[in-house]
Amino acid sequence: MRVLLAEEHVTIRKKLRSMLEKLNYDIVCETDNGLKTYNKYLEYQPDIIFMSLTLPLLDGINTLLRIKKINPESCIVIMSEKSQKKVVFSAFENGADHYIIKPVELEKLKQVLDELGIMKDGANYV
Amino acid sequence: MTKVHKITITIILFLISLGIVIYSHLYDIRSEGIVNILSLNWLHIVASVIIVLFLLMKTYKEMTVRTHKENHFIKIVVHLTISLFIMANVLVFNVPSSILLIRGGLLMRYLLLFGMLIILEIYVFCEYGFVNRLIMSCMLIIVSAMTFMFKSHDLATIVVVYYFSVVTYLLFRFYKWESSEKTKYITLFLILLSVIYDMLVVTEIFTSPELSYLFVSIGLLIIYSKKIYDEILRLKLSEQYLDRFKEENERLVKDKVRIEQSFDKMKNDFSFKFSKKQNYFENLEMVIDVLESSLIVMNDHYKIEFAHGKLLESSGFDDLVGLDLTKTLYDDAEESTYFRSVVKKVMDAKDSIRDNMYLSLLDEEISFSNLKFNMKYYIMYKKNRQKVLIIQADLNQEDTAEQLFIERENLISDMLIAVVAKSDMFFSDLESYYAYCQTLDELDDQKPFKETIFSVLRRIHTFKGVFDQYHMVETCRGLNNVETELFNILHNLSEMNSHKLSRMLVGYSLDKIIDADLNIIKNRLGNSFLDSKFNTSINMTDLNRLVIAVGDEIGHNHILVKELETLQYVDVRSVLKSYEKYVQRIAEETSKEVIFVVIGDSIRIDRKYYIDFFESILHIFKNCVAHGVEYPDERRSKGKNEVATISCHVKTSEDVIIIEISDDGKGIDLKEIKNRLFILGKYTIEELESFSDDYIANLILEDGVSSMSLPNNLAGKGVGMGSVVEVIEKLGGHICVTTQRDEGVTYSIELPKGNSLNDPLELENLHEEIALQAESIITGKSRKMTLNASWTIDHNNLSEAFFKDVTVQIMIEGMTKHYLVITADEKLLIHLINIYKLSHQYKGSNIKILNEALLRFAEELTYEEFNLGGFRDKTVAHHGEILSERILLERFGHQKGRFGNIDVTEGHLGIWVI
Repeated sequence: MRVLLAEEHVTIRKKLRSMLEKLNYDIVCETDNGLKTYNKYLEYQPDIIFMSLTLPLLDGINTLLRIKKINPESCIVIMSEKSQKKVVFSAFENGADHYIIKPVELEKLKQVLDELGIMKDGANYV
Repeated sequence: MTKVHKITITIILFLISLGIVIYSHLYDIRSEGIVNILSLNWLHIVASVIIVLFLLMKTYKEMTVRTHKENHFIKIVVHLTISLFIMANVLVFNVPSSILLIRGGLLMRYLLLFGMLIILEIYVFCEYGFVNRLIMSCMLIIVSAMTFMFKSHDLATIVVVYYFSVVTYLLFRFYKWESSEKTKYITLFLILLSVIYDMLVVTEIFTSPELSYLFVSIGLLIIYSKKIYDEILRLKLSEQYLDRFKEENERLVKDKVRIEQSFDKMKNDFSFKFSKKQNYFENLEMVIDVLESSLIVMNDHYKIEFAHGKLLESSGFDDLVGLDLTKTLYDDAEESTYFRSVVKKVMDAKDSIRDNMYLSLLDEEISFSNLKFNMKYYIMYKKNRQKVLIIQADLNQEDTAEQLFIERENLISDMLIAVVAKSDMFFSDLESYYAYCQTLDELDDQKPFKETIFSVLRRIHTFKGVFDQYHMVETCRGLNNVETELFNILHNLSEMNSHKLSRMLVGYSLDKIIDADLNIIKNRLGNSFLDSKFNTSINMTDLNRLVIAVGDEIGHNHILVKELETLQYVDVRSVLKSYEKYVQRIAEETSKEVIFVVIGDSIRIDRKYYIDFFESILHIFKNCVAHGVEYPDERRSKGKNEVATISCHVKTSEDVIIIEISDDGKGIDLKEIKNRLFILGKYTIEELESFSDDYIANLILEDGVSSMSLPNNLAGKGVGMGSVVEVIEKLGGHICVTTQRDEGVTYSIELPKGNSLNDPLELENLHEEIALQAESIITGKSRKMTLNASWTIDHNNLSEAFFKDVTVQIMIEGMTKHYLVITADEKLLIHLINIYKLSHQYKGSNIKILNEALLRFAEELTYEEFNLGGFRDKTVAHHGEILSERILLERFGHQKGRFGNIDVTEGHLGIWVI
């Protein structure tokens, strides 16, 4: 599984990277703003995108909209703070596939990836 | 050859043979045959009557029938004409006597036949088709018209032709006709037979015509009997139907009874189940009550299907079932729509994973009529696969209240411990805070307003840090609010001036902000604790005297003496060490791990003098923890020890104290600082590029510069470092920052030792002025510009005698700070006592009076204003203190100053300016 990681905080990004690598995911690219995320998506066409909602330049929702416009089948996991549920919901309205609360825990990440696999029906996400 | 053709040929052959047979027997019209046929007997009458009656009946029927399937009018006319002729035949032509009558009788006969054929058509063939009959009727009427046209001997031939055509027609019909009823065939055959028989009578082969009537009547009888038979059958059939209906009816009645019974049973069942359900609901409600929970079941139209528990009890509705939950639960329209849209998403979700995913977006906590509830959501399917949302709401007020209480208690005990442990520091901090609050009433409007507001911000920021050190949560929150407000003002400078600001600050009543925490302290520790602050800060003289007295009594090395001395003088290291707990705490709050180390030389300083510095130094520690030190996992990934170290190194050299505070964090992000400076518009890109790294690192000391893009409660507003710089510069020291990427930041602070700026010339001037002042006091003469000849200052080193005599220390503060130490021998002191007219109190060796005289002398010496730091105004002399020799040595032993001994007739005077 090829993963794109879009998160503006270095520490969180690194932590997530180490977790995903532990779970044998291939992180093809890391980005720290929305515009870059969109461009890198076009370049790498990753299978899963982990994306923070509070990206600078182009925020999470708008990035999501752009990517979904290009490819509605793309699989996007939103990362957000616990208090941002309304924003998460609007992300779902715009086609997000799953979400995960920051700070990310390994168990939770595993669960989210499992569920993604089931939802995307059969694709081997784990 | 097919069968049909065979029959056709047979019929044709039969007709031809019949024709041959008849032709040989054709005779004159008045022959026996025709007479026979025309002779009227009772059978003839009966047949005529029957036909006429039948035709009349038909006519009547057709007259009354409203349908217009056929041309009724023609039919009626034909029927009536025929029946009229038949009647005329019967009544008029009884016996044929003349040839005309025979012709008429024949016509009647034809019509009789014609009428019979019509009956046949209607009854036997059951055919109302017009075409066949029309053809036949036309043919027969033409033939019968011929009756009057031909000569009498040809009449027989006409009659035979007529009969022959009738036979042909009947055969044709017989042949063409398709019916399953044998009786009709027989009837037709009989009529055919009777017609043929008639023909044979005409040709005189047979004499009696009765037989033909017989055939006809048999045929008709058969038809009627068949009809009657059919009718009987029909009746029987309907009887059977009736029976069957009766049976059916009985069965239905039975069914009805059975259904009614089962309905009753079901009704009972239902009421039983209903009561059971009711019972079940009651049990459920009881369980919910026992669990102190609330349960709501909501369907996909947001309607409540079941609700019990405290959550909606207070909503004011008697019966909640059927109400719209979203409107009941949320007052806020926005919340309500959010809830609705999430629930809609859940209801539309295809699988349980999505269900749970969306459910997790709902509020976990709801406050409803001032109560807080923990919410849990579940999706359940009813039997009809309808989705319902189950909401479980647990009241968590008590839990949280208890938890809050415990948390609060913990905070309070933290605060109390901190306050008691550092009570002396706490009181001096408190004092300086109150003093600062006083100054806010009148802000300096000479300075640019921006500078003023920054200086206020810096002070408030410092105080926030100071009180945070004592865990005074409420105070910190209050100060933080003020700080935020001030920051808002910074964005809107044009509308403000220092008067407005001062009014605003008074409006915040800064001195009241601290009251909440002070009240707690008062409540817990008693009023006396706060009142005791006055004991520690005043009357150092008494303290020093106590130290001397006690030292003389029990030895100067006694532990108690040392304790007493430390009340005013502290080791720099121990002051720094006292920040350890604070640093640990803020590290914990940001989930970082930090060791705090203090090393270096021992140096004792007057804490009062450095108090501002030690307050502001907090910002450096905050910066280190908040910006410098990385998170443990980040440190691990860099190969560093997970636990960061913040170290303070204290060094002293001849005239300076150097404090180096360093962390081993990530260092200052120079790029970010550059960005920040550029955004603030302080420098252009070219300028920034030309600066060295060290220079840029030092720029963080300026106001408003912070490497944090998002300020938090702890740090990032860019004010802290400014206040550090301000304080250090006020003390005459300076600070510089060095940083190395990923190796940390070092803040080197250089402070002048003691309290002087060591300007030799200034000291000399001061010393001279003091000497002049002393001369004028002692000699009682007015002040001169130069000292008297007898007054000579001996600038030798400090003599032993200096320390043996009574000594007073006094501080003069202007732009710079100086200590003045005055010593006098007993002779001079007695002289002073005389001057101050204290001799009536002086009895031999009353040291108290001697001290007082010296103190007054010292105070009078410093009454003048001195030129300090280049300005001749605002010098303040503090209260003098009598010092013991030991303290004197300890405090000033290593200090360089200007020293002078003056020996005059009045006694010995020592002046030491430091």
